[in-house]
This record gives sequence, structure tokens and C-alpha cells, in this order.
Amino acid sequence: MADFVAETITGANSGLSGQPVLDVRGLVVEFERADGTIHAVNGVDFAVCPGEWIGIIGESGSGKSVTLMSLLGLLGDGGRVTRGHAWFEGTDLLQLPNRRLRSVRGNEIGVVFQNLAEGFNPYLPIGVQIAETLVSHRLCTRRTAHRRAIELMRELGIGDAKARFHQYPHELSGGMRQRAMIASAVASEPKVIFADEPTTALDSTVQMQVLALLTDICRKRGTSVVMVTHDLGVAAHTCDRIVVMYAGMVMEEAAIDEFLQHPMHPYTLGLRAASFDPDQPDRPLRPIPGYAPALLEAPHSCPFAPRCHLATARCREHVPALRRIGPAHRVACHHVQGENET
Amino acid sequence: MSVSPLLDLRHIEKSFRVRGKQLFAVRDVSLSIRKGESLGLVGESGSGKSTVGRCAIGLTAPDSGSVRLFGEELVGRSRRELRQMWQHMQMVFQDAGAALHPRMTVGRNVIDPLVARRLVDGREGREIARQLLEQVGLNPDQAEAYPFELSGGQQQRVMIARALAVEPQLLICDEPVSALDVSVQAQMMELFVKLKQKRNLSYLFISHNLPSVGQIADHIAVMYLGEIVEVGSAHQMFRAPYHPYSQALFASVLPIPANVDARRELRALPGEIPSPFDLPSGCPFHTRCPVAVGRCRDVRPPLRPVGDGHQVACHLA
Repeated sequence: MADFVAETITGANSGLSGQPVLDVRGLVVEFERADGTIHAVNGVDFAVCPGEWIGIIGESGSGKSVTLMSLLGLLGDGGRVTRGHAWFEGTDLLQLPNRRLRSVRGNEIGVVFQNLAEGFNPYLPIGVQIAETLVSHRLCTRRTAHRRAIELMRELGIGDAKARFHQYPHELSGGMRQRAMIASAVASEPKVIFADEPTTALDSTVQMQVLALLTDICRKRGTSVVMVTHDLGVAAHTCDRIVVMYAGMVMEEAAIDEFLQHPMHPYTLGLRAASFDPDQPDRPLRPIPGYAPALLEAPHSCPFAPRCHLATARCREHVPALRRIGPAHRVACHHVQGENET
Repeated sequence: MSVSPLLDLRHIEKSFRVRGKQLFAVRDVSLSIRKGESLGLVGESGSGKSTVGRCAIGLTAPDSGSVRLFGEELVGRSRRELRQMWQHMQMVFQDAGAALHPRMTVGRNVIDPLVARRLVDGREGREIARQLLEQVGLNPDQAEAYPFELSGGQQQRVMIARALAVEPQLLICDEPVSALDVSVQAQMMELFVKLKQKRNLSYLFISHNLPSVGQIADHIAVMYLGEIVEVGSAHQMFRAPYHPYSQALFASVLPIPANVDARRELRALPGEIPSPFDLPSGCPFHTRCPVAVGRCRDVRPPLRPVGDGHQVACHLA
């Protein structure tokens, strides 16, 4: 018997409203390296509404993962937040001491990483780790946690959950580990899940399983998701809103339908032209020429100008502001007219 | 009229003994590539596609079956004879960093196959290396650099330059872009396509990454649990594959829809791939197939033509 029922979602954009669950303002992140300071994130703003699914897209080095990691206090050596706020449940995550942030992470904000090794302790059975999330967060007995963990594993299509409960992470396939990680992420019923390339390391059909599961479980619970991905097809099929990042800046932000129908920023258009279209497999892809900047200094011009076919003198001299061009659309480009400028 | 294919694999079988158990890696795989044509070999981890590639170039000896290059049998040849045949066929692996000699300059790495065959002297070799590096999109001056000084993408380009040094007609590429950053992947695929056109190069392009395969392959073969379950034109495969497994596999490549209403349903295949130590009876896919019937459990479907050079191993297709 198949232990997992095929999931389907439709792309209906549920009427989102209400106070944001998470509100990030003016985030600046720097890394101290031997060769200087890397300006990884340079003033990022975005907000996440209840139940909303946000996709942060961009090439590697665009600062999309660093943005998520900085909010979780997981920047690692040499990384630090130098400015900005991240309002979550009335507190600023960026002002919290590490110990307090650790309890937010995994409890109030669930995390699903690409790198499976990061997510689990290799020396503890998988079920114990899922149950631990419940015990540490809620006043829930170990026995109840055990039962609840098995229920969650079943809900995530982990067959033979009772036996798998006692298995170690390395004994599970990549797909099963990723399911277990989702189980662990949703166990404490967080308001938001941060998903960093949640399906990238997986085989294609397993990617689809994990994506369908994650979508389904978050929609059912009304959990918001901030997903970092380089796969525009995946983002387009799951997200309510897209944030396009480049050189640690938001280049464009739009509600999904607007993003699909009226993408504006030359960088967004470049990403689309470089994306594979299964309906035209032999259409030559046009990779964006050149490379992402090394970010050894904070941008003092449009960071995309060196690779942009529209670039003019103004682009090389002034950083474009992220301006509203419609009710659900913001663009940072000197060549795109703002709402009040037309 | 029949033109003898460049590469022709017939009924390849290969199993390995792992911890006392028999692992069935490749089961009765036949495929052929004609000159100037490229075949994509796709499938998920453990499907046996890499083993097919290693058998094709002679790095792994099949248990049975034949591998012919220009009609000449490769199986059972000595290393020395194989090396002769490798003038026509070269391999590019995923991990370029490990395949390059760390203490040789990039240029010396590139011409190594020629030096090994005593085909060039130093001065001539240096010039050839510079030309090859330029052809793969590197600065010729990087010939003087050492591999560790290059990025992963640049190292992979050096590997390709080295493979091209003997002017092969066929490149066997095993996950050549999978270890690279996504934007670098696109640039690398651009290079592969350019070489295909400019040099009339053929590829056996092995990858789990369907978008890269789509860009290079004229035909695509889909492997599942050591078997080829479907072969056909790349266009047909992406548009409307016949085999239920291929359907699930290709549906996992999500397009960018024109608007929200054009978004596809996310349909996932149930269950996990069975263990290659303990293969299912009948059709290897019947345990997860949404349309399987009784016959699928008992009888293994042969790969059979369904028109237009397309072949499918499914009782119901």
C-alpha cells in the first residue's frame, strides 16, 4: 500500500490581510573576512502576513539565505547584523539575546533547511528529536509527545512511523529526512516557517512530494512561509508574493499574479530568460552575463548596472530606491516609473 | 539503409555485491547514439544511470552485453586498447576538482591526454592548451594557474578542455553541472550546446537535472531501478511522455506560468523507490504506479516501439 496520498493544491491567492506576523525593516548584515568586510545584506524590508507564503528569489550571493539566517541568529563566524529591525510577535528578533533567540528558532519560527545534515542531531533518533520540540516548547508530557510525534510523522507520509521513530537520521532516505524535518518544523505549531531551498538537494519526484506536503500542511494550519529558492518555477507555483534580491537589496517585490504578468526589473526579466521552460525544452537559455558582485563595499550605485543592458550614467551613480509602482508592486530601478511620476 | 551508430550498447547487465548482497544496478539496458546526436540519460539516485555511463566508456565491465564504438567491441579489451578507443570518446565527471592533477598547471592538465600519447612536444602543447582554454571560455593565460586557484565552474571548463584535447566525437558527461552554482550551470550548458554545434560533438549526457538535459539532448532515455522504461525525442518527453514514471518525473519540472490561474496542481508520486537489493516482480514501477493492473505485478513489460522512434516499457501505454 502506498503510504502517501497524492496531494494537490490550487494556486488561489487567499485573501490575505491583517497585521504582519513578521516585519523586517532596513536589515543590514555584514561579514568580517580576511580580505575585508562583505556587505551581504544592504537594507532589506519585507513583511509576512498570516498564512502568506513569500518566496525570496535570486542568484547565489544575492543575500537571500543570509537574510533568513540573520533573523535566526545563525550567521556564523564573522557575520553580524549592523542595522535593522525584525518585529515578530511584538519583539525585535534582532535585539534578542542569543539564548532567547534559540528558543524562538524552532519553536515560534520553524525551520526547514536544504542541507539535511544541519537540521538534525546525528546521534539522536529522528522521532525523539521531533518529540523534543514538543516537550521543550509546550507543557506536554514525554509520553504525549511521543504519540504526537508519531501522528505528525504519519501526517507527513512517513510510512511505518512507529519503527521509523527510533531510526537515526542517516538511516532515512533524503526524502524521508526532509519529511521528518518538516514534521519537526511544524510540531510546535509555529506562526512562520523559514524554508531555505527546502527541495534543492532532492531527486525530482521527491522534490515534488516534499513541496506538495509542505504546501498542504502549511495551508491547513495557516502557517506563513518564507521560502528561499533559486527555482522560479517552484516559487511561482507555491508563493503568494515574490521578493527578488540582488547584491543584498530588494530589486522587486510583487504579488504573485503581478509578478507573473508584469515583471519589471531588468534583473527579474534576466532571471526569467535564464530559466528553463519545459514547454520549450530546446529554447536556448540566456544566462545573465557576468557575475554577482563581491560586495566588498556597500552599493553606491545600482548593483545590477554592470550586467544590465539598460544601464545609463544615472544607474552607475545612484542607488535606485525601492518605489511603489502599483498596489502590490515595488521596483528598484531608475528606468521604471514610480506610482506618482507617470 | 542503416548507418552504424557511434555508440551502441546491447543488453547490458551489471550487478554488484554489497555486504554479501546482490545489488542489481543495470538490467538489460540497450541504447545507441548516432554521430552528431545526443542522448540524455535521466533518472533519480540509484537508477543505474552512472553505471551505464561507466560501462559505456569501459571503466566498469558489464556482467553481460556488448558495448560497440563505431562497431568495434569494447567489452573485454585491455587498458591499452581502451586508451586507443578513448581518442574518440571522453568522459566528464561531476567533481572536476578531484579529476584534475593538483600539482600540474591548468595548461599541462589540459594537454595531459596528448602528452600521455606522445602526440605533442612542450611548445606545441602549450599553444594547444591555450587554444582549448579559449574555446571553453577561459582566459588562455590561466594555463599557467594551478587548479586550486580556479572556481568550481572554471575547473569544470578545464576538464572539458582536457576532454576535447584528443578531438573526440563523443563526450560522456556524468552530472557535469550538478555540483555548480545555478547561474554557473546555465553558462556551462551554454558551452556544451556551443560545442555540440561547432564541433558536431555527440553527448551521452547523464543527469538527474532535467532542465540541463533538455537543452542538450535530441533524445532522452528514462531509467528506473536499473531499467530503461522509456526512450524518445526530448520534445515528446517534455510534452507528453507515455510511461507513468516519466510522466511524474517530467511533471516535476515546473514552468513559470503566465498568471496565477495557469499554475499547475502539484502532483506527487506516492511512496519511495524500492530497494535495488530487492526488486519488485513484474514491472519495476508497479509498486508506485497510479494505473497499475494485475498484469503489471506479474509480467515485466518489454521496451516496445510506439511509433516515431519512441519506445516504452509499459503494458498500458
